Amino acid sequence: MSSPTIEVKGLTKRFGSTESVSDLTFDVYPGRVTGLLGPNGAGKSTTIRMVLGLTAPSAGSVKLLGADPRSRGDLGRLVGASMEGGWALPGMSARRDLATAVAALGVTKTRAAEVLQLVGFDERHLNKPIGKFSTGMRQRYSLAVALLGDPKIIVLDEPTNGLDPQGITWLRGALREFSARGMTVVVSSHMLSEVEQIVDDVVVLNRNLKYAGPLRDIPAEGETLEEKFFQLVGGI
Amino acid sequence: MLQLVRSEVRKVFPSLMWVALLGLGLALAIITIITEFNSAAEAGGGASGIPSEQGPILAGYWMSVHLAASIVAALMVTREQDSGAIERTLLFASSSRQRTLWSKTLASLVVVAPMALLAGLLSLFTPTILAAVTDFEPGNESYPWTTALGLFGICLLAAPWGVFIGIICRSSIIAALVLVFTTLVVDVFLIGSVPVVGRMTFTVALSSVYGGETAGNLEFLPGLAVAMIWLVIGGALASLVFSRREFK
Repeated sequence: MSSPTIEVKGLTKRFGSTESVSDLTFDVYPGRVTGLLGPNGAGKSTTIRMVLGLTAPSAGSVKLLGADPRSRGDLGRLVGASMEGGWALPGMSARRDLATAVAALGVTKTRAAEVLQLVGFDERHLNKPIGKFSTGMRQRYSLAVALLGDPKIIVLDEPTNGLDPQGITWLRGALREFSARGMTVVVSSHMLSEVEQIVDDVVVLNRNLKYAGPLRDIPAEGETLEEKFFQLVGGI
Repeated sequence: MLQLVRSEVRKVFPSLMWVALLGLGLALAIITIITEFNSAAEAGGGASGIPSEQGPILAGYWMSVHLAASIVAALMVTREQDSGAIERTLLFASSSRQRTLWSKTLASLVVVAPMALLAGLLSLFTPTILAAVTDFEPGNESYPWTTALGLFGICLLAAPWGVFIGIICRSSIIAALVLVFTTLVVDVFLIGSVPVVGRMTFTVALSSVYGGETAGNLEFLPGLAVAMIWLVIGGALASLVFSRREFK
């Protein structure tokens, strides 16, 4: 296996007296789709924020291609990401929002058209305010913006939320294609049945690490990921 | 950095919010000018009795546009903080909070520059316009070039102030209220009741920059120095707050 793109060591985040994430250690590899799994409140989004350098860890470290994300001047183009609920101003039209992203990343309008086409986003919707998009449309649009800088690493928070079966099938294919191109893909989700069909590796957490490694090697009994997941994190 | 500034400008300019706030600033200025003009006319026994030196003073009331400029600048950061969109902005800035803060500050100057220019131009023509529609006699000395330049300058200075207040307050509503309340109530009250303190407030220091006639005003340079000190304090505080803030 090649060297990891993302290295997480002893990662801990405290908000006041609450420990949101405790002592996480795992690696994420290129050319593979890694699922960050856990129940609501398990610390998935907080972990992603620390991986993206948006939140400083209380302890431990994150390295993206060997360097602290907050010290990487190229982070904006190295990583493409989208968080649940979207990151755009709700009243802003997609056209204007895309223009701001194009300007910030210094990419061409042609690249913007390419990624919209890649995610199957109909350009006729560009004049709509993003707040009026359906969830599926918003997911596709967020993915397009995440891909804009031609990143090596893609991090998506709950990308299957709100997608219809057709959308999920499409997303599965797209993520597989990205990983086949050598990209590192990280997907956080609590929708286990969908994720099971997408990921190669999993990081299961519930504030602390329960398991990190290949999906097939999860040390729990059960037929489905869901059964194994509940054994690892407890519940039901 | 230039890419980030360009991106920030595109988020706001042109937009309905920008136009609406400019409209509010202009409306506030027009109402003040009309009110003050009528008071002066009443005291002078008609428009023709208003001393020509009143021209630049009336023109200076376009200063209200600086309030609109500061609110626009504040909203440039608070709207993103309210919605969570600030995280994407940070990511595009390679998670550098300082780069994000200063790109927004520079962009705010670009965004309010047309407002500043408009305020300056309108002030320049105010005595002439008043003379055209009333019996006011402006006199040659009343063409307020310095007032126009000063107004242009203070509208620009209001932009970083708005960004810093926006970062510190975080919420759009709170930031707008703080700016309106300090500008129209607190600073005005202080210059009226405790001039020694009032002249050191940001708004009154700005009016010193354009040569406003508020009683107890500082001279141009001390006024500019006080305004700059406020900006340095605000910038340092905003930088500190922004670098430690958790977004989620």
